[in-house]
Amino acid sequence: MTTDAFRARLVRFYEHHQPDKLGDVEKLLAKTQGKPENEQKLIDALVDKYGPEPMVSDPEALRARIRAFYKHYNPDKLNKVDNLVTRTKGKANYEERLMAMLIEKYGDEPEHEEGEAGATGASAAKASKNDDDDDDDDDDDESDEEEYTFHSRVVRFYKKYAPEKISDVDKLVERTRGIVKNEEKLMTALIDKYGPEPDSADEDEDDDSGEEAEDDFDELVVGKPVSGQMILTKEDSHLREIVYCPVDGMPPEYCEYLPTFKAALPWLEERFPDLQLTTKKGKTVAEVAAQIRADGGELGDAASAVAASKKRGGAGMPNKQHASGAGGQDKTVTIERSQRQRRKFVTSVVGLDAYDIKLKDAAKKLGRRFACGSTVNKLPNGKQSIDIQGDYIYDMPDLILEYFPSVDKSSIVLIDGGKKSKAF
Amino acid sequence: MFRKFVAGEQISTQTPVKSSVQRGLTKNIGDQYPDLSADVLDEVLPKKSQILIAKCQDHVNLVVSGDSKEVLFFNQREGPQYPTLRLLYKAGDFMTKVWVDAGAIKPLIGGADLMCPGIRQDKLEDFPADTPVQIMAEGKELPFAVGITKLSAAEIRATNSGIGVEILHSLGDGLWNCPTVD
Repeated sequence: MTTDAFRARLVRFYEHHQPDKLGDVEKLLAKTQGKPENEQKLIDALVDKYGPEPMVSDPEALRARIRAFYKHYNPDKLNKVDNLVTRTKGKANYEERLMAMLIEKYGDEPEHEEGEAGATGASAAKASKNDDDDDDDDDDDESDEEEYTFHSRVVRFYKKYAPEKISDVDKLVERTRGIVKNEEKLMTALIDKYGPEPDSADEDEDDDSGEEAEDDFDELVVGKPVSGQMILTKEDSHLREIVYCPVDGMPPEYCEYLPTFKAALPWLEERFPDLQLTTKKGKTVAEVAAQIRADGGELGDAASAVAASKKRGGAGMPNKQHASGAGGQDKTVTIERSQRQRRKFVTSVVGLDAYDIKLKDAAKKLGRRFACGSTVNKLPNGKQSIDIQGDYIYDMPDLILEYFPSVDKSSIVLIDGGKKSKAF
Repeated sequence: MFRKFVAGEQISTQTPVKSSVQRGLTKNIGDQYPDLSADVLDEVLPKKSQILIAKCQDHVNLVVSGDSKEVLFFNQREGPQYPTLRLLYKAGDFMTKVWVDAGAIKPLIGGADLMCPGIRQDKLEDFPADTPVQIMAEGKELPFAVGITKLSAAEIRATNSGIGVEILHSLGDGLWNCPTVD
């Protein structure tokens, strides 16, 4: 690659990721000495450090691609093409997102005269040729324009939500220093704080036919989900937070697939009334709730539904395992003897956990008393039993009362050879 | 894979790992999922914090964060690392997507595998067999299952029968109900 072309690449790189370091470009160029291996190594190192190489924006190629798209799928929207292209504002990543959105919406990109889709390949070569000629001037203009347009976005924002803060805009924009990531972070923060980015169409005449595609595009560009707000972006973090339904611990859009759906309805109605339910033929939560009420039914009280299913801190469906341990109503303590081999027996005590007794400690105590081995066993029905080697069912009741005075005398049951009898 | 998974029973040990191993693991995951940006990966598996590996029945391993005790990834034997659905929600979509009709949600959540006819071929990305994928439902924003393709995209289009994707983890399964290990 010619030095000039490579210089252009480096400049583009730094402009996108770290404009402060544009001064280093010459130094780095000198180091590579024009050798391709060195140039590649440098690019690799930069990609490792900052991220992918920025693509070149090519509005004309994009225009042609979008025209081909709409021609193929939706000729009515051909008049929107210019508008959409302008809104990408010369940013390669916006162009990319626009294409991705169109592909998702309509299907694969149709072939067009210019050859295969892909703004990077052909136009990157083209652009670097151009850069040969104009070099710094071109790039300066581009970055100026970016700053200007980002500036205008922020101004629009404050105009709509907080006009008294318009004076802050210059400061904020300066802080982003023209780095795309910072711009996007700022946008996300503003949206989180105030609401969706105001459409420039707010200022222009109302324009219904184009709005659909453009609104979707705006959402995409700005980085917020198109519906619901189940997905929240966090400040200072690249991770997102999902709002889960408190009744079943699921993402709201999947609550309808669970038997607890009805219990979840009140909460869903409050937080996500516009959520469409696929099991209800696309009706929204609000519509389904209204229908239930109209039919004379009740949605149930959200608070009690939440309380009822919050057995494990709400982080999922109630775990069957703990059903008996956590305040089970059945407070009988069962003492049973089973035979192991020949003369060897095992005495099982079931149900002590209903009295908030720690089974492991209880098992140890009992074992120590009888100088025998003791364990805690999990039973197939989910309950746990204390097993003590030896036959002590007749001694056990007294012991239990001695060690665990909280146990109710009358609730101790002995099972001897299949016959149940109360211990006292 | 996690149909009958219960934390108390199925997890046998939990050990921290050497930093060399941890670095290898992080790099492995980064290579496996090129769409997972370095920034996100660094937040999910920070170099500075300890990772624990929990060993479970059937040679299943869970990658657990030392700080938050959250289960992040799982794998079987030496197989690929898969993110838990909770992690996938947090980190954004970095896996190849397979779209299905809404009618496929119920059976897949129950643990069934995804048969080819249920796959939306109009939204099919191009992938080879044995690719870890996330299952997206028509009309929903979030994936609801994670699996591995048994056929390549081309094969799915060609035959349109048989198992397309083996489902390993789905909403509501044992692993979903076990977001943290203590």
